[in-house]
Amino acid sequence: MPEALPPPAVNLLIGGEGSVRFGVVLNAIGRVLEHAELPASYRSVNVPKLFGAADLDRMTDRYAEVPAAGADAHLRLGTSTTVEAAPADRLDAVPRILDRTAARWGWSGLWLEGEHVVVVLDAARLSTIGATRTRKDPR
Amino acid sequence: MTDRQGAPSSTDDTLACCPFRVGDALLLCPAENIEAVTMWEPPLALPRVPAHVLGLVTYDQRALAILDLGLFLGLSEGTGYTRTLVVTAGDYRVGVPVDLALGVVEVATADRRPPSGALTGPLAQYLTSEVTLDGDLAGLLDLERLLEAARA
Repeated sequence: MPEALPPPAVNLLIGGEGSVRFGVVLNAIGRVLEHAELPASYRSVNVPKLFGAADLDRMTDRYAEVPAAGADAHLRLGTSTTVEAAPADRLDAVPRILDRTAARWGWSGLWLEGEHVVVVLDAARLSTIGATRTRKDPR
Repeated sequence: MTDRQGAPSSTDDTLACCPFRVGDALLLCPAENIEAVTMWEPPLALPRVPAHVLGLVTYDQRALAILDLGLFLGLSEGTGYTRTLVVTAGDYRVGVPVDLALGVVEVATADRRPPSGALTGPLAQYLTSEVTLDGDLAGLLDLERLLEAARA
């Protein structure tokens, strides 16, 4: 009897902390960079801050390129990220009652894991709200 | 989950409804819109959502958003949530925490009255009718309209 294949998985780059974290589909981003590797001028969205984290020192944060949103588009991910494989059949749509929030903040799905949830982000859509910064600006 | 065996069902002359209490308000939903009644469990709070969306719970292996009717409709604070109604209407499926879930009752069409204005505040605009249950005034909710307005 043939062995049953496991459901396909989606690789997510996951950041944030606590019971609600965020994830970005790995295929939707380019390189993950240190602050010093950013272009001299770039756009970025501070994703941990959107999820309630304090706005800490960006010099130690990591940044993901978002090629679909332009060469200068980046997501600021915080200091700690992991790659996890989410079974495709466990990724859930955002409930309709939250569709305005999802559209505004680039939520494309949810991955519920017991007492934790990962909000899966549409990297390109979220990048559209990024502000332009320069690498040398200490803000 | 509630056992619906033997529960009242709608006929041409009656509507099967699930009464429940949130704060001081006695409200009704058509029973056909109630998928299940579960024990209340605090949801995982989400960022960037309005206060009336309390967060998410897992129900039937899916994400269920929890809508606080008390906050959305400005109802008085009650004794504390004990159950969550899993409510469906149109494309919506949400959890509605309630202080008390009061089973299923048959409401005769003749006993349903247009909203009189006795139930006031934001709630009034989401009522299709009023009925008297055991001497208490109860409002029958227009669920789809309510959930559309509560979209966040």
